[in-house]
This record gives sequence, C-alpha cells and structure tokens, in this order.
Amino acid sequence: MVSLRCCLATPPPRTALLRALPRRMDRTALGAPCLPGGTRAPSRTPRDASPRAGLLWLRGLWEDPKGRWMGGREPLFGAPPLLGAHGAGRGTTCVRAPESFRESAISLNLSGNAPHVGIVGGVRSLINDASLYSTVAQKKSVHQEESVSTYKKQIDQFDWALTRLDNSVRRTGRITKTLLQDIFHEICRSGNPSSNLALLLLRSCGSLLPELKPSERTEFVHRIWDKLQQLGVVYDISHYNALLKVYLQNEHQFSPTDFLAKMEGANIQPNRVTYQRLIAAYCNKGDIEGASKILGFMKTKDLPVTEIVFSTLVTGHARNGDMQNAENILSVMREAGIEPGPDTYLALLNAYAEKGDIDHVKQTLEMMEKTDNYLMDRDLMQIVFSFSKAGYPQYVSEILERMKFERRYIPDVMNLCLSLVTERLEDVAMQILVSCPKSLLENTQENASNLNNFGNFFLQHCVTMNTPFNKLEEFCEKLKEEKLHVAPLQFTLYCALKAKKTALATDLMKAMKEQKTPIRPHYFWPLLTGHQKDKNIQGIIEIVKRMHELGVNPDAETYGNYVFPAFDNIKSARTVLQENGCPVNDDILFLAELRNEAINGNLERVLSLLVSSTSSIDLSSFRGSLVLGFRRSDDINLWSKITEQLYTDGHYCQAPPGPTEAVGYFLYNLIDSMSDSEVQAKEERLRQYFHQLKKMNIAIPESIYKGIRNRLNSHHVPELIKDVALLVDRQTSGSSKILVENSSDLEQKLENLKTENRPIGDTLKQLILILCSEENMQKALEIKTKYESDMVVGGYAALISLCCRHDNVEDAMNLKQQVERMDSSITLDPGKYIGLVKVLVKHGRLQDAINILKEIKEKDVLLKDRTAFFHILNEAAFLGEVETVKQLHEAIMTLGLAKPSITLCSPLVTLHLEKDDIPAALEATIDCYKKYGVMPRIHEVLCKLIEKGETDLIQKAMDFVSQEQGEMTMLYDLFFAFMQTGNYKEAKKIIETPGIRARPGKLQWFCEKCISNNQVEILEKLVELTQKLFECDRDQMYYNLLTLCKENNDWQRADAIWTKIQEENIIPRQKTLKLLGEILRNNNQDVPFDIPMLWYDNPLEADPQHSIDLPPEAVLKKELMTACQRKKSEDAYAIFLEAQKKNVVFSALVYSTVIKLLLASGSLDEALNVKNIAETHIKGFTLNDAANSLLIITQVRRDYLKDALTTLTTALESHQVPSPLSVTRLVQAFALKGDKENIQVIEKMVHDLQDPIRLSRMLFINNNALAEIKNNNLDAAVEYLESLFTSGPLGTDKQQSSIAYLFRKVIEEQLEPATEKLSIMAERLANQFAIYRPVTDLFLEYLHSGRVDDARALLQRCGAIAEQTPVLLGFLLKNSKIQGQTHVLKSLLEMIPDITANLEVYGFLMRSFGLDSDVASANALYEEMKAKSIKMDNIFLKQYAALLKNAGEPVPFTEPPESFKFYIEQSKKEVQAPS
Amino acid sequence: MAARVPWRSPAVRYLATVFVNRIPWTAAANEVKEYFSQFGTVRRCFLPFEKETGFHKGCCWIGFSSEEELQRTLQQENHFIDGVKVHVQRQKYRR
Repeated sequence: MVSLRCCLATPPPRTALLRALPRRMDRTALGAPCLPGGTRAPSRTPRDASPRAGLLWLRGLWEDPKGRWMGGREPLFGAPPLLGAHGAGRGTTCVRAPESFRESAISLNLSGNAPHVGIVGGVRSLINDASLYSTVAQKKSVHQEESVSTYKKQIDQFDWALTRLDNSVRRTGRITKTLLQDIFHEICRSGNPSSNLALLLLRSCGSLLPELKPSERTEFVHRIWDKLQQLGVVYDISHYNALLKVYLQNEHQFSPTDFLAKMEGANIQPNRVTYQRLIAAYCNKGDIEGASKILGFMKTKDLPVTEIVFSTLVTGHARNGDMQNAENILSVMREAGIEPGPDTYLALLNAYAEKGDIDHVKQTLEMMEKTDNYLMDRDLMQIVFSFSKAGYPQYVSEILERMKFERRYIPDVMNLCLSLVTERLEDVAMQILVSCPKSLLENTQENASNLNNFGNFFLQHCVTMNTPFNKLEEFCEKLKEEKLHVAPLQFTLYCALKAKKTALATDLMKAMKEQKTPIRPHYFWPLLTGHQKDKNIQGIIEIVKRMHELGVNPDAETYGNYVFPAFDNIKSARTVLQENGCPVNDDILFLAELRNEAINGNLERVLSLLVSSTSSIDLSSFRGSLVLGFRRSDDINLWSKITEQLYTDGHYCQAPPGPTEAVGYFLYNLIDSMSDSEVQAKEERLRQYFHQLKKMNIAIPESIYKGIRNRLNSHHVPELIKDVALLVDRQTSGSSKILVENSSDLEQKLENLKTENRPIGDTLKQLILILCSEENMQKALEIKTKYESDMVVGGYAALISLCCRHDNVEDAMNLKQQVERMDSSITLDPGKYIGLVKVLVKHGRLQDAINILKEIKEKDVLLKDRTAFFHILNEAAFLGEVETVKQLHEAIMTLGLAKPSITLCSPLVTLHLEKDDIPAALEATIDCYKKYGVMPRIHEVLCKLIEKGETDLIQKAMDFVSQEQGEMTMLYDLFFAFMQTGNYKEAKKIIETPGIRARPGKLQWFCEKCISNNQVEILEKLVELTQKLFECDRDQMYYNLLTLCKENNDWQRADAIWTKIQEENIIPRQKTLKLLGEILRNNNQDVPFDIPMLWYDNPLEADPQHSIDLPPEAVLKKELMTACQRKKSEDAYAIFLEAQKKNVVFSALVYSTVIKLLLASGSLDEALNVKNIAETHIKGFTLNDAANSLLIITQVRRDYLKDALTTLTTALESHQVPSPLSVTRLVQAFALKGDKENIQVIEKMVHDLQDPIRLSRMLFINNNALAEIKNNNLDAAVEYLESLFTSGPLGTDKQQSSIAYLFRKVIEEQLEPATEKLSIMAERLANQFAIYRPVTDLFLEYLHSGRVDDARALLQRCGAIAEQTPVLLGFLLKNSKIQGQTHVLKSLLEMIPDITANLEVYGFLMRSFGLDSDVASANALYEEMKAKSIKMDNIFLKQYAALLKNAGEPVPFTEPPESFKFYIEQSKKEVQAPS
Repeated sequence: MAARVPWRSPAVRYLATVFVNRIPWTAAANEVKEYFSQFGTVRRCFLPFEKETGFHKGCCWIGFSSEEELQRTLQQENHFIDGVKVHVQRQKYRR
C-alpha cells in the first residue's frame, strides 16, 4: 500500500485541498449522514416532526431549568465518568473519547461497505507475514502448562491494576503519579505484562495525571512504552492509537511522519482512528498543510470524514491564525451534510478563548442555545482553561456563571483546578473553587469522613508546585472564610511536612501561632527524621532552634527518638545543643536519657541517673522503658537497687497512690510483659529479686499481688507465688425393593390369594402401581373397582395421579373423595394436589380447584415447586379466562401458598395483553403493584402503549412508576420501551437526561433480551446511545453486541466494532477480545491482535457463571478436570461416561489424568474402561509412565499378576521407565506365590534399568530366596544365599546386603522351619565368615516382631551383634519415626545398653516418646541425662518442650526460641561443615 | 510513649482497652490521653509513630483501669479530637 508517510514527505498539491475536499465528497463517501439517528439530530424534536408528537409532554421532565438539553462530552481534565464498574468489585474500563457517537454511527453503518474493511484487511495480511506472531503461537504450544499459569497471573494482574486505577479515578477523577508508578514498578517486577495491561498503563499517562506537567507525562509514557516492549509486550494498532491520544492530551510536539515510520517499522498499519488523531496533531500545531495531506490520504482510502475531523480542522485554522477559515469550516460541514454539533462549537469556542475574544465566545454560546446545542459543565471548563492559559483570566468568571456545577462533574472541577495549578494559575483555580456551590460539596467523596475540608487536593498540589507562602496563606484564609475548609493551615502544614519543606512549614506554623492554634512538638518530627537518617547534626540543631523560636519545647520523645540517635552519645548531644543556644530543659533531657539507657539495657547508667537526678518525674513516664531494660539485663542486684531507689526516693512516685502502688504496679508490668518461657527461664533470678526486695522492706498492695499471682499461674511458675507473697503489704491488705413382576402375573397372583382368602393388600397396591406405570388407566380403575374393599391410600394416590395425567377429571375427583372417606386426615404428596388443581382449572371447575388449594393450606402440604402455579395461571391467561385467573391468583395469595412475585403476577397482565386490551393491562399492572408490590410486564405494556400512541395512558403509567419506584426506574422503563418500539430519538433524549446513571442490571437485562430475540439493530442502537451514559460499562455493552454478532456469525459487524472500541478509547477485557478473535477466526479472517488464550483451556479456572457460554465439550472437560483435581474419582467417572454417551472426545492428557485418578483410588475396571475408550478415540493412545506404574500397582493389589506383567512388558517395550515401587510390588507378589520363573523374567527385563531407577539389588535376591522357600525348597534357598554371601557379591559389600526383608517375611508368615534354617545360616555366616549383617538383621527382625526372647537368645549366642553399631543405629532411627514403636526401642536399649554411647540415640528416644506422648519416659530420660550431665541439643529440648506443653505440663527450662526447621538446618550444617 | 516498644502486643490484657482509629495527625499521645481522661483514668496510651516518616498512623490504644470507664467511653456516640471524628471500639484479644 502507498505509504502515507511518503505522501507527507512530498510537497502538497497547491490546490486548497481542504476547502475542496468535503465539497467533492459525495454523500456516500461521507457515510450517509441522513441515516436514522446517524447524525446527531437536533436535540429538540420539532413539535410536528415526530409521529409521536404527543410524547412531547415529556420534555418538561427532562429539561433543565434553563431549558437546555444535556448531552455528554469528553472531559479535558481527567476523565471522570470513565471506569464504570459493576458487579462484585470487578473493574471495568471505558475511558471515554472526545469523538462523539455520531461518528461511530456513521462508521457502523458504513461498516458493511467495502472501503473500511479494506484497510483493516491490509493490516492483517501484513501482520500475518510477521514471523513474530507465529513464534508466539509456537511458544504457547510448547509451554502449555507454563502459559496457563502465566495467563492466569496476567489476568489477576490486569484486574489488580485496573481496580486500583479505577478506584482512584472514581474517587478523585484522577490518578496520582505515585499510584501509577507503583503499579508500573510492580508490573515490571513480576514481568509478563499482558497486552491489555499495557494499554491500560499507556492510557493513564494523559489527562488522568493532572498533577504532572504535560512534558513529564509524555516522558512517563515513553518510559512505560520502552520498558513494556523490553518485557515482551507486542504492540498492536490499539496501543499506537492510545499513544497518539496521550500525545494529544499532553500537547506533545512530535513528528507524525516519524510516528508513522515507527508504526511501519513495527508492521502495524494505521487505521481511521490513527488518521483522525494525526490530523488533530497537525491541527494543534496549526499545520493545515500537514492535516490536508492526511485528509487527502483518507479520501483516497474512501474513509469517512466525520465531525471529529471537522472539529480538529477548526482548531487547526484557528491556531494557524486564520479565524475566518475556522468559522468557515462550519458551513463546509453543512454543505457536506453534517450538522455541526457541540464538539465543533467547542473547538470554535476554545479558539476564540485562546485569542481572548470574549465577545465571540458569548455570541457563539447564545447562538448555540438558539439552535439547541448545549454545552455541559465539562465543556465550559475547557473554555475556562483556554482563557486562563492564554492569559485572559479576567473572562473566567463569565464562563463560570454559565456552569451548573452538577455533582457528577466535581471530579472534573477538581481536575481543572489541579491542571491550573500545574500551569501556575493558582489564582484562577482558587476562583473556581470558591464558586462551587456549597450545597454541592456536602457529602461528596472528599468530604465523606469529615465535614468541611474541601480543597485538600488543591492545597496539597500547591505545596507540591512550590506555591509561595503568602499565596497559600491567602488561599487558606479564603477557604476558611468561605467555610469550605475548617483547618486549611493545618492541612497545608501537613503537606509541607510530608514534603519536608522546612521553610514553608515554619512559615505556616508561625501563621498558626498568630491564630492561637497550638503548635505541638511532634509537628517537627517529620522534619527531624530526614536529618536523623543522614546524621545531619546541623540540620537537627536547625530544627530544634526553630522549635524554640516558635515557643515549642522539645519533649522527651523528640529528644529520645529524633535528636539523640544522630549523636554519638547523649552527653555530646547536650553539649552541642547548649553550644548552639538551644535551651535544654533538664527534666526532659533527663527523662529522654533515662528512657534511652533503659531501653538499651544499660541499667548501671539508669541507676546512676536515678540517684543523681533531682527531677521529679513520675515512674509512669518511663515505666515501659524500664521494664524493657530489666528484661534485657541479668543483673539482679541492679534490678533491686533501681527498685529500691524508685521506692524510697520520693521523686519518682509522687502520684497519689504512692510508692507501694507504683512499684507494685511496676512489678506487675514486669511479669506481665514477659513470655512464659522467659519467666520460666528467669525463675531463679526473679526469686532472688523478690527476696532482695523483701530485705529492702519494699511492700506491694494485696490487690496487685493478686494480679501478679494470676500472671505467674498463667506463666506456669506457681512456685514463685510464695516468694512474691512475702512482699504483700499486710497493713493494707431401610427401604425394601418392589419385585418387578408383570401385571398379568400379579393379577393372577391376586386372584389366587383372594380365592385362598389370604391378605391381598400389598399385592393389590403393587398391581395398581404397575398398571399406573404402564399408563393403563382403564385396567387400573377396573382392578380398583373389583377389589375396592382392599384398596389402600397409596393405591388411590397413584390412581389420582394417573387420572389427572389422562385428563380424567371425574374419576380423579371421585377417587379423591373416596380417599377422604377412608381417612379425612390423609395427605397426598404435593405433586398430586398440583396435578388435581391443574386438571380442574382446565375443565373450568374453578371452585373445586380453589377447594383443593384450601386443603393444601389446611393440611400444611409442603410445596416445593411453586412455578407450577405460574404455569397453571399462565395457561388460563392465554385462554383468556379472566375470572379463573383472577380468582385462582387471589386464592393462592390469600391462602399464602406462594409469595407474590413478578412471575406469579404476570398472568394477570398477560390476560389483557393477549386480548389486546392495553388499558386493562396497565390497570392490572398498577393493581399488582398496589396489592403485591411488583410491576409485572410493565415493559410490554409500555411498548404496546407507545405503539398505539396512548399518550395519556403513558403519562399515567410513568407518573405511577415514577412515584412508586423513582424517577430513574421510570426513565429506564420508558427508555427501553422506546428502544423496543424503534423510537430511538425519544430514547436518546431520555438517556441524556441530566443525572441519569448506568444501571448495569437493567442494561444487561435489555441486552440479553435483544440477544435472545436477535434484535441486532436495537442492541446496536443501545450501545450507541449509552456511550456517554455516566458509569456505563462500555466493554460489557460491546461484549453483548459481539455476542450477538457471534450468534449471527457476522464478522463484518464485529470488525467494525473493533474500530469503534478504539475510537471510544475502551480497553477491552480479555473475554471481549477472545470473543472478537473467535468471530474473526471462525470466518477465516486474520485477527489484528494477540488473542488471549481461551480461559477454559485453563483447568484451574473455575467460574461457574461463565460456563453457559461454553460449548458442551468444554463444559464437560472442565467438570471432568475439576473432579480430577478434587480427587473425586466417582464423579469424574460419571462425567466421563456422560461424555462418552454424548460422543465427546477428549485429549490424551485428559484421558491419562482420569485413568491415573481412577487407578489411584483403586478403581481398576473403570480405569481400564477409560483406557479402552481412549484407545478407540485416539490412535496409538498409550498411558504414560506414571499411569502405567499405577496400573501395575493396582493390578498387583487385585492379584492380576499376569496382567501386571503384561503392562510392565508393554511399558518397557515402549521405552517407558516404570516406578521402582511398581516393579518391587510385582516381584514381591510373585515371590509370595513362589513364582521364581517370573521373577527371573522381570529381573532380565529391568536389568538395564536397575541402576537408573534405583531398584535395590537385594530385591531379586530376597525374593528369589523367598520364592524358593515358598516352594518348600528350603535348602536351595539357603544354598543360594550362602553362596552369594561367601563367594558372591554380598560378601564384599556388607552394608548394602540386607536380607531383613526375607527374615521379616518368614517371621510374618510363621514359616518356622525356614526361620530356623535361616537363623542357622546367619549364625554360620557370622561365626565362620565374620559376616554379621544377616545375624544382626535377624536379631532386629525378632525385636521388631516382638519375639524378644528369641532376640535375646540370638544375642547371647552371637555377641558381635552388639557391635554392629551402624545397623543398630539405623534401626533405631527408622523406628523412632514410627508411632507406637517405643517398646521396640526400649527393648533394644535394654539388651544393648552400650549403644547409648552414641549420643544421637537420646534424640531418637525423645522423638519416639514425643510420638507416643510418653511423658513419664521423657521425664525419666531428661532426669537421667541431667544426672549424667549429658548435653542436650536444641532439637532435643524443643521436642521435649513440645511434648510437655501438649501434656499441659510446665517446661522446666527455656524453650529454644527458633523453629524445629531452623535447628534441623543448623545441625545439618554442623555435620557438613567439618567435611 | 517510647516508640521502640514492640508493636506486636500493643494492648495489655489486664486493662480495659479501647482501640481508637482515624486520629488526626495534629494530635499526639498527650492530646489523645487528655481527651480520653474525661471518661476515666487512662492507665495506658499507646500511639505509635513511624520512625521513618515522623507521622503516626492514626491508631491508638487507650487502657482504662476499669470496665465501667471503658463502657462510659463506648456509650458516647461521637468522639472528636482536634475537630476530627475519631473511631473508637473495644480492643479484641485473640485469647
């Protein structure tokens, strides 16, 4: 395609392109401005213009006092109504654009035409070429799992960022730099930003940051742009357009040519929005030539020229100094068939304002009013800004007079003020603040918590912008005078302190002092902190001096916390302060020093301070510090001396209760502040302390003693209580199954029973039930008549139901009466009653039906399904049975059988709607509201009324709704009715009513209605008309529209929507992009952005709300994966079977997962079934290694050893690596069967794998031997083993040759002869060959199985066992970790006590005691070790302490403070260190 | 009050303690203590300052010597310190 950049580089044609262009353009090129609603129709419909002229009465409601229609337009200062949100905290984005929706309408209607599509198509083919796209896709498939979590993270991150930004904008209309920076840094830190997130960040760098200079904002956006690109964000056209928008908002000077070059370089083709914005960029510079070139280019592309473009041209000419041509644009527009709207006028007004031309501004405004074009506050604020910035603040007041200061524009007002301050126009900002009506400011967000502090944002920003003090003082004065702010000086001071602006803070405090506002020492702390950090003594002295100048005496906190830490010691601090002429209050300095020394545990210094000082400072002012100091010192003598000093020296306890109370309280605090273990550890010291206090004649009140006693008790040191008591101042002192038989057999049986005169009740009932289930009413009734006397209630109930189903009202009622005759208290089940009512109503037996209802009530039948009532009523309503419906409904309500609901009441209205009697329908609706508080079918009623033009009735309806449910509901009801009936103009007027807000629920209801009725036009109109609706969730609106496109498979429309989303500057959510991507892809269109991965590919995601959107396969898959994740094997299998029924095929991964789950829960048959099915669906489906291993284990467990062997064989053949456990289990199973052959088969098969999978080589030896033993070849087994030990590999590597498994098995299986033979063999090996491992193993296995005597005998015969320390220790270690093995450990220790020479044994013992909660043994062990003074390590102590605490016993030592893990790591390190 | 007292256990169990929130920056421990003294004897007033910034975080624990004093405090609907409404509630303990 011809590059626009090249066009721009060549000199433009000499012709006045601009003036010629629109004229040459015919109407089609411009996009049929006469389309219904396409252009902004003159807002006020002429009285005769509409066929529904009668509706004009409505105008009164929606006109504001000045008789102007309101509309929405883009804010200059921030973007207040942007991020509309609804639902549970879910943020939404609809950053609004300046383009009015007229343009959108044109483009939308054009979208079916080729030209527009052409461009985007071009873009795609180019992108498609880019290899980048495909690499991204590739990466995705490779790192599927990884990207799932990455994707989820990205969504979370986007939501997180959006919520934060959204909150800020909703609350204050802006974003602060810190907030944006925070988010940006957080995103950089975590990496992997999504493309949406990038868009969000870029978009935030424009007018949403009014507190930053435009140049800084642009710098910021560039930083973000580059950084995100580095992080791998792939920018698409929406990002470039967003960047352009930010440039425009920041008035950033840039070269459009370079910009296009940059886009070209990135293979991104510009679209219509790009061109529009580039024209605006040229126009802002006054470069008409540049703008013309782009216009010409757009023309060649047949792109529509919209009002936006014309508006920017107005600005362009004006900035070029050519006001004449700027004004002319309006007539050019009209010639082109576009009526200038508010945006165009606003551009013109701003142009006048920039020239200081107040007269023309006023003229234009008046002219606009005459032509029904109105400006909103937000637009007027732009004019204010233009005037001020251009240096004409004198005209601001004239514009302000025209503002209405609506509440919703408060954020705009705030942003205007901030922008003005940024431009150093504080005075104008102040003027605007003051002109805000007071009534407006009450209850605004800013004021929510505290009344009267409006202007904080302004003052804060002034401080940031270094506004001079005298100006600030003036502003504060004014704010206070105007009663806008109670304490402006304090707040300004706060800002100054936060920004550490010392000079300003001092000035402010001086001003406060003059106003007799107290200045407190802590006001200076923020200033001191900075200097303190740098140890800047001069700075600190400076601040302290200022304190004195202001008459504030630094208190002890100031000295202690903020002054002293900068000095080396307190003495030097005192000297420096005095040298610098800072008066030092000795008492306070003393207190500060005392506290600091105490906190540092320097008790000696504390004592000397206390002794030497004459200050009268109360103990309470340094009690906390002293307690800390005591706890940090172990010197009891100092403790006592200090306490004595406090007690006896009157200085410190002068407060009324006196020293007894004060010191007692101090002791209490001391004990209370310590933790249990601390008190326990210091028990002895505390005892000494109390005794010394006693000696010093220190006494405490009894009440405090009691408190201390309680604390000591709860610290588990009751022993100390008696020591404290010394101090007390004495002076103050089953159902069964129905056999399934066929009816004729039963009938025969019944006959027989009857003739034999035996009871027939049960059989009769059974027969009736079977006949009922066969729907054989005739026969059933005959049988009933025949055996009438033997009938039971159950039979009757079934028959009644049957008759109802067969519409046999007579018999049903007869049966009902017969039951009643039998027993009037009998209650049928609810379904039978409802069936009766239904059939009775159908046959017009209203009274009988009502009687049944009464019976339901009387007998208190519990109705579960109340929708049945609706269906009965609705059916009658469609038949037009007025009385039936009314009476029945009345009865249901008065009997209280159901609560009045919209659904239940709607038949009352439907009745009349069906008869086309709309007045009656309205009456019925109103009546329902009066009676039941619901308004059923109001929408349908209104639609009908509008269709019929029943003005008076509409009025009546609206008055009623408005009065009962509020004006807002009324407006929405009317809006939807107009939309539904195609009266878009009227609908538009309503939705533009000032003060109307988005009601997400209502809007969504209507959208869904449109979608289900496939009303594309209405929905499209709705999306268009709500563009400027306050807090409207734009993304959701477009999502709905796209949903409908998807249903109709209308990709052209979807494609046009994508352009509009950018034009409106909306950041679409992932789900919207996904939907759009799907539509395009399904139609073989290329997608101009990176499609977010389908969220349901992610098995972790479980959002049931969205599952409706999914195809059934995906739903099933999701359910299946969820069940697997939750390890619900039965559920998973049921879902799998269901899927199988529906012929749903899953991926191999899913099958494997299900099979693994089933195997893990032991469901072998089910697992195999799944495997078979998977094999039929997926060619070459095989289980993976892990699943096969599980399969083997399960098969072994089921004793399907042959199958297990086959599984192993196939797994090995396909080069899989089975788990060692599966091989072990299989081999062991064969051994127990005595199947030596198969063990050898396996041994051969896994021979190569043995080392890699870490199979114990003893596995085959042990099991071969075991198999021999099982085959009664005892001698062969012994010979086999013995040869391995004496001449085979086992002899050399003694440590690794345990045949413990074999011993254990023969002992367990009680194969006595074998045990004996093996024992002899083991002893022989020990005695003759000095191979002790077998005999030791046997010994330990005896112990393990409780055969202590055998063990002892063996030990006596073979003393060397006691020397096999490593084996014994290993055994102890292993068993110390198993619960209930304490006795085994104990018996081993009893037999071989010397083993305790290895100190780790104590640890094993303590662990075992801990596991078995054996406190007594633990205590004994502890005592024994203490007696032997064996060192106890931290793990040991920790274990012991845990055991004691669990048992609720006191811990007689200080519990090691760190965690188990810490000490274990520590000991590991110690072990490793020496090596 | 010394700011180095560990933050973890700001409330002392034996005192009837209220937790005060949203204290304006202009008030320090003295002001808060003075205000609450009208309801009873304030045995403990813990208003931690952030050493980094020199400002407090707006929350404070006030320990009264008796439950009645605490109740008296809670019975008053609104509390204002330096013209700012503060939020007062009973301190809840874990145990």
